[in-house]
This record gives sequence, structure tokens and C-alpha cells, in this order.
Amino acid sequence: MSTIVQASELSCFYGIVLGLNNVSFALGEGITGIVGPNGAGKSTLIKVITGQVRPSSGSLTVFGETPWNNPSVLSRIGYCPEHEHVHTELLPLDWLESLALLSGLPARESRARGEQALTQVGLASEHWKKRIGTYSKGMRQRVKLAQAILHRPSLLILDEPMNGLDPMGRHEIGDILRSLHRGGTHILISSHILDELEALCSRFLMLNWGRALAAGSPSSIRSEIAHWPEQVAIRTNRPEAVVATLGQAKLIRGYLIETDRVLLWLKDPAAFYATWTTTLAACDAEIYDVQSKSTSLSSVFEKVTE
Amino acid sequence: MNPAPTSPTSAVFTAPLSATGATPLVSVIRALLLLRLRALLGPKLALRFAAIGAGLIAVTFLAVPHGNAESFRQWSLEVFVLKIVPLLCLVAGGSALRDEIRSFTIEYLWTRPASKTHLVVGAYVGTVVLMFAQVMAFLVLIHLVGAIRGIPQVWIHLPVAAGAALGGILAFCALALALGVFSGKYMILGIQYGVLVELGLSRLPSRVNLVSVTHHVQTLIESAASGDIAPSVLRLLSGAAGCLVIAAIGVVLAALIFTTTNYRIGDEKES
Repeated sequence: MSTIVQASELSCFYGIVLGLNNVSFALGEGITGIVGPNGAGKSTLIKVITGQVRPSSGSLTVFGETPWNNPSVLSRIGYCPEHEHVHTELLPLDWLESLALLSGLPARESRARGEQALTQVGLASEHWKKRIGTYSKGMRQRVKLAQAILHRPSLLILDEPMNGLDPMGRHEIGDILRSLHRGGTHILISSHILDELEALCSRFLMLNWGRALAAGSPSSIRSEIAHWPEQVAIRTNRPEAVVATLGQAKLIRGYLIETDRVLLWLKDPAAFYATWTTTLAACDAEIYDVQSKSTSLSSVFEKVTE
Repeated sequence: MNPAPTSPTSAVFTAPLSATGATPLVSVIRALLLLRLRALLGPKLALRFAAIGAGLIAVTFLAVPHGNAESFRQWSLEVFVLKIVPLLCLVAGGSALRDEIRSFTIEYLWTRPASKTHLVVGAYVGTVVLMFAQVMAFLVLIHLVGAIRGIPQVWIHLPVAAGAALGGILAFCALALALGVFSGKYMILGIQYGVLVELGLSRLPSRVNLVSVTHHVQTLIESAASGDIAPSVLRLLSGAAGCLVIAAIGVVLAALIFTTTNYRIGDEKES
């Protein structure tokens, strides 16, 4: 898998305010999520990747080149910012036509490309005759996404694209992004809503306080944290019996019993997964569901930010 | 591994124009001109334009007595072209990129493959073209009122006023653009510059007045008033050259500032 974005000892300061602090990572193809709480440095990183901000020190390359003042990189990037600000006094097609021209598309194709992009993001054509200022939040989000995919970028960068959208809108934007990915577009998406990212992304970059904490899939990040006890939730009709059986087999180091469920802290995950079926078969309890809790994105993020 | 980046409909459209990936200057100018023109046709800016036009009509009626050609000349050239047009240019030129930075919309422009220098030139050309079109409309309105007020041969003044206004617009918009990309307080800086250079240095009877745009615009106006052809052409060329040189300096300064500044959009802090 080829590297698309690579950072090496990247730092970015706004005066005395720290944006990114000595960050190194490599992001590859596919849909990658940039995860972190507010103030983690997600937006700063995106601004550096899109050539809006020059790094204070270190380096960052996109497609092997630095993006600052570099049109050849920017021609391959589509960017959808976090904020809602758009040219509200314009009609969406007029706005997209100008942006298509700025992207280097020929004048005769710019308007058609705008129409295609609006159709692709699911903005119904009856709204095209209204000024953007009259649009709802969801419609603006679609127009913002349309301007980002106008020129068919190789890398689409979205900063908190789900902000302010209702569940249906989030679902639809997610579908659009998956469809773009199937068409060959690599996507970099930042959010602090981890559940949404987990459903969309296969790989993650985790940031906190301007530092890169980890990069990769949730399971690969988890496996890098050697002394991390695995957690497993088992839904059963007899939680106490399950705890007793696994305790005798010395497979757990702690537990928490809820009504029909028990949360287990494993002593040795490898030993547990090798023997749990036979061990629990000997237990006089009905097992309804076994779920690993520690590989979810939120639990991984919680762990690496500790 | 994901599939190679291909687009199912990519054959329908051609790739970006430039081989290096950079958008050509002519496309940038066209894009920003269209953007500004369409914004101007929006209700907010159209209302502002109509309000200025209505104000000018009212003031022209009040300032120009019936049949008084000298009063009309003073109002249309000395006041409108030399005082009001520079203020309009300060507002339009200063806000050309600064308003985009303030309102975050600059992100949609500078994340495109257009170089920042091209964006500055595009913003400048767009501002000059639209400002000249507006000023021409205002001048026509003023001359229309002049005709109603019985000014003899009133339309003779129009080409002179238009030429002088164009020279002023070229230079003032460039300086305002540079002030705008330098600071969000471009109005204050512009007024300070106006008082110091345009109202101060321009009146000094030495060659130091060459730094002021007003001096060159006045030279353009005087070239039309001169009876002999040779001195008239010389003044015309001198005035035009002065305006163009200052315009070029302004655009270069604006481009230098815009390409090297690390802006923090949405606020006025930058480094």
C-alpha cells in the first residue's frame, strides 16, 4: 500500500499556541479517520495537509510533495472544511462554476461538472435556483461536499463533515463517501464522533494535545499496546457461573456482573481465545453473546489517551 | 489494497488545463471575476450599489447650481474622482481578499491549485473591472443630473472623468488590496495613508509628490485641459505611467504579503 500523507517530526505553532508537536506518521490508501478530542490538533493537521498553513518545523508531504504553495499537490486534493461558511449570496451552481474554474477545469465544462457534483451529493435540482444562504445546515453540508469533489480529487479531506447533521443526513453522507471510495478516491476524515468514524474507516490516526498517539486499525493499535488487558462482555443467563468457571481456569483477572451480562478483564487474551469455547461448554450456563470490548475505536482511543 | 484512482466518467471531461497542475492565470481571473460579479448582483451588494447611486444623484443636485459648469467640473472631477473614488477603491480593494479571510471562505479558494500570486492578481483584476463598471455607472448618473441641471456640453467631461477614474482605480485598488492582505484594519491604515500621502505629499511642490496617486490622476485630468497636443500627450503618458507604476507596486506588495503570511482565518491574527 503506497503512502499518501507522510509527516516527519512535524510541529506547528500559532505564536505561542501549540497546534502540532513533533508528529510523525504515514497514512496510506483507503478511508482513514483522524481521531481526537477538540483541541487535539486535527484541524491544524488538515490545514497543513491542504497547504493552508506552513509547518513551523519538520516536514509533511502529500503524494511525495510538500503542499504549501504547491498547485500540483492541491490539484489532487479536495477539501471540505469544518465551518459552515460559504458564499451565501450565490446560487450553488454559480459558486461551483467559479470553483471549478479555479481548479483548472475548462470553462465549457465547469457548469456541467457543478451539476454532476450536486447530483452526486444528492442535492435535489429544485434547490439549485435558491441562494446558498437560504439553505438548511444539511443542504449546505452537501454543497460543501460538492465543491470538494468537483475536480475529482485523488484525496478527499473532510473536517468534521457530520457536524450538525441529523442521523439520516449522517447516514447519507457516509454512503456518498463510501461510493467515492469505491470510485478510487482516498479519503481522510476527521471527527470527534468515534462511532461514525468506526463505521466508515478502516484505519485511524489518533491525536491528542498536538501529538500523534497511534496510527493503524483499532486492532493493530491495540496489539501494539502490550500490557493492555483485553475486555470481553458475555451475555448469559448465569453470569456468576461463567465468572466462577473462568476464574477456576485462571483466565480472568477481574469482572463486573450486570443483570444478564458479565464484563471480564482477561489475564491472558491468547490463552482465553484458545480455550474459551471448551471452558464455557463445561459451565452450566446458556451463552447468548460474546463480544470483545477492547477493539472498539472508542475503547482503543480511551486507552491510548490515558 | 484499494483500487487505483480512476473515475468512471473521467473520459467525459478533460483534465485540468495546465501540465504542472497549476490553474492558468486567465482561469483564475475569470473565476474570481464571476464570483464577484455574481455577489454584486446579489440583493445585499445590489442594494448598497443602489444606495450609493441614489446618494450621488441627491448630492449632485445639491452641489451643482443650475448651468454652473465650473461647479459641475469641481464636483465630478475634484470631489468624485479624486476623493470619493479612492474611498470606494479602499473599501473594495481592501476587502477583496480580507473579507474572504475573515469569513473563512478563503479556504475554498486557496486550497485550489491556483497559486496565491494568481489569486492576488485575479482578485485585483476582478476588483478593478467591477469597480470601473460601477464608477462608470455613477459617472453617467452624475452627468445625467448635470444635463438636467442645464450644464452646457456636459457630456464632454465624461471621457476625462472616466480616464482619470480608471487611472485612480488601477492604483488605489492595488494599494488597498495590499493593505487588505496586510491587515484587517485596512480602512484605518488607508485613511492614514490618504491623509499623509494623498492629501499631504501630493500637494508639496517637489518631486516627492510623484509617490501620490492623486498627483498622477490630476496630471491625467490636466492633460485633457491642455490646449496644445504635445504637452497634452506628454501629461497623459506621464499620468498614466505614474498610475500604472503605483498599481504594479501595490499588486507585487500584495502578492508578497499574501504568499508569505501564515494566516489564521476567521480572526485577525497572522504571522
